[in-house]
Amino acid sequence: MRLIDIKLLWRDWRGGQLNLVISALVLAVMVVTAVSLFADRVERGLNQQISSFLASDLAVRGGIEISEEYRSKALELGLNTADTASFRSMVFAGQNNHLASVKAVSRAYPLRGEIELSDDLSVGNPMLKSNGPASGEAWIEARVFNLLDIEIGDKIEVGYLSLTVSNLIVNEPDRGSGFGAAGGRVMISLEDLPASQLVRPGSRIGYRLLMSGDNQAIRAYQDWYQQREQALKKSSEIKHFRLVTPENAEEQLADTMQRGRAFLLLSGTIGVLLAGLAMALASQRYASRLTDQVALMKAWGQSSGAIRRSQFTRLFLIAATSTLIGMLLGWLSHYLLLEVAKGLLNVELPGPSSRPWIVAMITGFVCVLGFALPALWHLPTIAPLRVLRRDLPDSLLGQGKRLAIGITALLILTYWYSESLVTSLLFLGALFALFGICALIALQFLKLVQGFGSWRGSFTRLGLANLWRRRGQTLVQLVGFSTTLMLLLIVTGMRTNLIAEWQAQLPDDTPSHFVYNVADNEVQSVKQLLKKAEVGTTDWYPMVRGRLVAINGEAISRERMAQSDGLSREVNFTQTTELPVENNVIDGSWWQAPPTGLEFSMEERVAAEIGVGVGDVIEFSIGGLKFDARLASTRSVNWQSMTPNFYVVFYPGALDKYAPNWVTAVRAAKTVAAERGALVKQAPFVSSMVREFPTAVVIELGDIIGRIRDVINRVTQGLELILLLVLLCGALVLFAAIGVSYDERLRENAILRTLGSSKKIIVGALTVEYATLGAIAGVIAGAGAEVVLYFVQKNVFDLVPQWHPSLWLLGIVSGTLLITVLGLLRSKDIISVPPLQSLRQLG
Amino acid sequence: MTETILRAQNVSKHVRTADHQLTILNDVSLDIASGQSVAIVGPSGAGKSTLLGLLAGLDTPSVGKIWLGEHEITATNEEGRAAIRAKMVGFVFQTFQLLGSLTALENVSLPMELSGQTDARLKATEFLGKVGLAQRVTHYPKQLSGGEQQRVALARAFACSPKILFADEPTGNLDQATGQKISDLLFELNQQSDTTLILVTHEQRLAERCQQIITIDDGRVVSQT
Repeated sequence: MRLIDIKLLWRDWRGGQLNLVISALVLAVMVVTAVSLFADRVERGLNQQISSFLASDLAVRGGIEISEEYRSKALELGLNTADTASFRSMVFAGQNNHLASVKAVSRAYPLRGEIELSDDLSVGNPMLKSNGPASGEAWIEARVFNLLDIEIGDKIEVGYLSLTVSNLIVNEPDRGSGFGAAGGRVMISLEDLPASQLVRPGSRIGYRLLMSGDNQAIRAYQDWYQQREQALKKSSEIKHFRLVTPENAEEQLADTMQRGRAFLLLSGTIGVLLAGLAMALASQRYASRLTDQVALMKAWGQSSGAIRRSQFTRLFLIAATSTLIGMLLGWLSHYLLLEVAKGLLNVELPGPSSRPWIVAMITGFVCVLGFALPALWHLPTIAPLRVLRRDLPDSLLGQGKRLAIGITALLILTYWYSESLVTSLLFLGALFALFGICALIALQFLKLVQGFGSWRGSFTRLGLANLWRRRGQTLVQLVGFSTTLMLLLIVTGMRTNLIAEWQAQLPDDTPSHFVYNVADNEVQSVKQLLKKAEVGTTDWYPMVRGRLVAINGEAISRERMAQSDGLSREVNFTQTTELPVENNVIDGSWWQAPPTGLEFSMEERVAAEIGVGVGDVIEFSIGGLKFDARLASTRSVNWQSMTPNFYVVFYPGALDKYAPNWVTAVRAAKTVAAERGALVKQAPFVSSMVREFPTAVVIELGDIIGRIRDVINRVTQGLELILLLVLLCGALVLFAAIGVSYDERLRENAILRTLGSSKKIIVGALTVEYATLGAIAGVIAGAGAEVVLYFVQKNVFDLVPQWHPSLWLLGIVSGTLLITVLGLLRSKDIISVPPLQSLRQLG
Repeated sequence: MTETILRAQNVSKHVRTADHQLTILNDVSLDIASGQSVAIVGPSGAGKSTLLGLLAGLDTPSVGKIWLGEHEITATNEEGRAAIRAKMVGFVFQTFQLLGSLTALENVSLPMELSGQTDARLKATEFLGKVGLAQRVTHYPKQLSGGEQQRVALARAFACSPKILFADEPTGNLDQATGQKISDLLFELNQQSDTTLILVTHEQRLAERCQQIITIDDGRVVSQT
């Protein structure tokens, strides 16, 4: 590296020639760094948090004791293990009893997260423990203390066991929200389980083998498990166990985060595309400014090789410095994003992995190689004769080649960034489409406005004539403007879609509790109690558990049973005349009149898994009693609707003789902001329910809903910040695009003013020019955004595509305003600098 | 006997246009002795600047040979010509060709810095002083008048101590009075540095100050005095 190269670079920078190139590069790297650092840390944090919801990194669960092979594989891979067994059982304390949710845990439990305990009922001194109760001890939840009317140190009976209550459970990591967790929690040691004699043949016990370890070992276990599952399917063995991963444990939360992440990354990609475009345009201007310098240097005897080396050195310095600054600014801005997301995660966020830094660094260099270098590539080949004949043509790198290099750089960046070839190709496809549309439509528009201008006032005529006369540059600008506007419209459209969909997913009246196990004769009294407590419910559904045993008279084989989770276990059935909310009939029809025989409707995925269709007759078994029913329809079910959902729905009457229990979802019952630990966030009706109807079960959904709402709000704010960064990138493109014709405008306007044109005419002509450019770009951007949004809605967000007339309007209005204002700002010198100085400046 | 520093032998330059071949220079031969000042004159379009470009090694003839010192520049490639130019040649242009983002001092020192001279700034300051711009070293070209810009260009050309200085219409962009001052300065510096000066001009008075005048018309040398 020669000192003169650094000097030259410094002088170019001082002369303002590098401002746009460097700003664009810094901004691109900054956006990439901020977004990927944020996404990386939140994702790692979220995984940790979800792991703590699971009390482990992975778990194998089943209704029978976990087979030894699953444990030995875990040990072989060096994973830590712990065991839990959960079941419902009556617990007694004197005259009082409660149908509790008992969890027997091994000493190593929990592997992730901690149990929050207190030995004081007012939760005065909470403590965190990362191991389960010792033999002879029981830890119980606040509401069990209330229901059994006991104190710390008292004894309770669990089966044949008598245990001392030593602690109050304030919080446990894997409390979960499933039906099994309905009763008050009693945690005991797994060592005591045999002595309780509660485990007998036929007991409904949920066993879990918890595992934790490093990522590699966890992934290895998951791979092994999948292979094992494939083998099981082939050998038609009954599948007893399921693998629980953080992702499927908190599916909804993970799904929401996944969409948020997809949006962040797409926005980041858009930022990079815009910055890349700005850099390509700015580099072209930089190159034209360097032309004279290079011609002179060659005339003075510098060889092409020396000039090429100097060029590489300078570009390397630009890339390295800008990337470092961009990374620093990105690192700072990711804290802004984290500040917004603060409280979203209860865990201390882990430091970022090295990936975001590597991605950011490579982005910087790829941007320079892909966008700046092609524009400068021809410089060393400039003929020295140019010092005498300035009209000599430049041997610019062919447009096609430059485009190909730029596209390749974009593809590398977007692919690396989004990790999805489809998304990358979709975006680049849209860009190509936009370039094509620009080339074809813009020319027609320009012809149109040129004709229009011939009979307008003087500055309108001048402005429109300028557009046509410089149509080459106008086209370049239109491509820049349209692309920027289109991408901004896409971001706006996506954000609106995303938020609308999230809000629709969780309306204000989203249920807050499930009430189930309500006996037939209690339904009316429970309804009255709820009415008195002023809480609303969704529909009430009768529910019985049963299984499918034969299809069209043929007993279901083991092979077929292994294919579907819905076949291999007991599932909940219901009966109703009304199609449940957020269910849609896919095949067949919902009952308009009572059917002649027994009929039912089945969830479409299960129907597909077991290979049945409308008209098939299935034999069911409920409590050992068997009956046949005909499949009348298949339905899609929104499992995330937080209302009772069923695989199998019968026409009313079919289940009457099986003494169904009833289930409903309670809407938005206000929770009492109680002290942590003591009757945690309990709605007022819950205590009365538990006392008056001890067999009924109430599950709180409040926590889950609150968490999701929080995620939505915070992610939305994060998106707005990202949008701001993208907007900045867009403004840079506008500046760079206007810069393409800057010198020519400066010269022309200096001549016009020398010839006596008033400032008013020049400003008017410029305003007409920019406003027309903006309006044309707005129309093209609206069309492009509409097309891209159609595919994004359909493929990325799984939404029903909609038209966006407001986006078209926004495109045209904002395009006209934004480009006129930015254009006039950028043209300030053209208007204000004395003409002689302008001419002198241009030589 | 004075040593020949520049020799052109039967040099022609043809340019192919869309429908025919255009001859810009036709069979030009000349010898220029070291330390001489030579003016190339002729009407517009006669081929003066083309000849200057060829003699300076900025372009190659279609036919003929050119020697700069002992180097036959027509027998070498662009890299070779660049090396010769670096060693021997300086330029002054009609449009000054100063770099707008560099100060007067940086404009003068740049070619010396590029050739690795360590005392570039010192020499640049000295030459700016010689052309009367000692007070303007930190000024940018746009802050200087046309005459001042050409003085900076002269300082830049002479500071490199070239053996031959090619000047293309050095006063073409200046008014008569300023042009006169610039040509005085040009010849004064030329005398001080013992450089061979080859200038293209259409100004008779400037040409008459040279020791030799070569007149070109329609691509041919019509007289040498």
